[in-house]
Amino acid sequence: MTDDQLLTAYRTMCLIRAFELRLNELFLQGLVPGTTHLCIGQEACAVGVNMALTADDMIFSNHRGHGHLLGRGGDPARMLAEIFGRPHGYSGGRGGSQHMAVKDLNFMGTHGITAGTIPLAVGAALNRKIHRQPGVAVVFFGEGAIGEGIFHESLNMAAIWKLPVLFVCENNQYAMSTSHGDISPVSNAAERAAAYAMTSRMVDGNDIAATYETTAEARSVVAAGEGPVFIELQTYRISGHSRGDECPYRSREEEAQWAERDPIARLRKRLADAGLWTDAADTALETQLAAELAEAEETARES
Amino acid sequence: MSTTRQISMSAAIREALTTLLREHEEVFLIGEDIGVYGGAFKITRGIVDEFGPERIIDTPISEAGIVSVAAGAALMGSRPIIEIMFMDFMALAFDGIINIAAKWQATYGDEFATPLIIRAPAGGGRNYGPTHSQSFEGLLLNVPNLTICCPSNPADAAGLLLGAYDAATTVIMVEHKTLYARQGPVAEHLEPVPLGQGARLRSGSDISLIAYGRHVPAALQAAEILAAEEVQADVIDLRTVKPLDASLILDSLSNTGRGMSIEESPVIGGVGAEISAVIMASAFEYLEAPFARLGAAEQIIPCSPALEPACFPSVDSIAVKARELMSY
Repeated sequence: MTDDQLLTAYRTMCLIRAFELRLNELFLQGLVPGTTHLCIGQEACAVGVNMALTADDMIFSNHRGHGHLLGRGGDPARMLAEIFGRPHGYSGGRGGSQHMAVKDLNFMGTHGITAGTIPLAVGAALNRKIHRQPGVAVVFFGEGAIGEGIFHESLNMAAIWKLPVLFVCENNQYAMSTSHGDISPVSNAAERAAAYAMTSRMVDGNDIAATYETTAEARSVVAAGEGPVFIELQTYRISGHSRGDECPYRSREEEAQWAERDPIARLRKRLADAGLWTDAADTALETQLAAELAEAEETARES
Repeated sequence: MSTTRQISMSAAIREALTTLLREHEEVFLIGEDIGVYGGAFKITRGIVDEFGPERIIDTPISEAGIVSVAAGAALMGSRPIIEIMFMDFMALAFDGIINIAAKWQATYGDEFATPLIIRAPAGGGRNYGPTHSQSFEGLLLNVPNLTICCPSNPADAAGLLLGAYDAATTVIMVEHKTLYARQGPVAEHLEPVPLGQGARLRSGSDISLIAYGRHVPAALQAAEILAAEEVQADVIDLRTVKPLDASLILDSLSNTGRGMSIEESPVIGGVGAEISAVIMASAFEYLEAPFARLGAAEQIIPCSPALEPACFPSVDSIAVKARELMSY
């Protein structure tokens, strides 16, 4: 990644973090209906993957999708409007936190059924292949989605038909409260790809540059018609699963270990070490994002 | 008026599929063994020779994947026509039908339409036993945003497929497997049948027989028997069971005051239950007898030829119930 790309990534990751933290505050104040699934700690996955894609690529997300949409260029005001159930929301307030899609961005939908969008990405890629159109399909899912039968049916079809799909597994270690080790006979999600003769990559998903570079390389393989690629991004959901999750299933020690690998802190240090970032710049960015989000919140409420 | 020819329902469906494939490059067929093999009921036989494997897509045995992958293609502009080998197998694909195909456009907006045509050979009468004989139209009635068609003859089977393409929404096409060989008049040039419109096949002022699929010919036969007993039946072919043609149903009942529904799926919470509700809401004052429902028995569908027929309505059971209602 170039210096400019790293700075862009940093700003977007901070935007996602600020968006999610603000949303959490609003939830705790009882100002938001329903539930939500925050992606705090997984910002490098959303941003690193998105930055490696082109406008023709079709993005499919999941229930934990705010970061994916913001990383693709989603408008925070329209997202908040959707979460508030307002008509200006991306789905007219019908969908809420888990259901947003933006055609202009080729962002084809976040969704509330685990693994539900994986076959949609395969179908979108099938359409591209039949009509020989540019662009690859990219689908984000968690390691918990591997428990669903449709995951396996989808990978199988994508592999036998050599479809242009990038399967992006964000392994955040927990399917709600259940650790990956308790529900998987193999240690790494990426090992699943071997059963479908599919190329796979395993990356530190809290390292923005590694995530970006691996995705860019995998995307070029997929776009060249060489078949799908599976990427496992190892990360950690710093926030709970959803509203009201106090995380009794994991230790505070484990959380502290992962906090040291916080993707935003790591990138900030990298930028600072390279002389590209200062504490003053960080304070300024924080103020700017707070103002932007306050404005977005007001727009969303008044819409 | 265009000339007609006599062809089977299989041939009519094959012709409709071929027509759609020729006229619309975004149409493709997808399903299990639909290519060289021609599908379990040979409906797509020969089609792959003209259009090739890229548009006649044989899949692994993955009903859930077939429906949801097709929905993903539809989302990007394709118009997939799916074959689910036996409707029983559709149970494996309910997430794609209920949570994706029936919801994406309604949730995200019109730019996110996922129009699917899902064809499924269905129903009993062939001694295939409990998991190859079911018909899920009753079950699917409860899902908003689905259209469900149950043709009873070759012209409607072909016409409803063209109508489903034109409607550009998700349509479940319930094809009763005992009707595939049935011959009927079909226009030289296929004509679309609009979704949601039933047809009155015989006029009568004494009792309404409201049926679909294979029970339409049975109702017509029962009407002949009843006519010999001076009872004139009004025979309605629903053609589409969701949305119901409520105005045709009410028109018939308000004239006869007596009637029954005849369905392939179990009666509890089924098509007849919905027809009853329509009548209760808008034609209650016309009723001279309770509205009756005939349908599949509340049990598994047995394989044995000695047991299976008792599970379903028949010409006899329709006539018996009609006499009972006439003497109410």
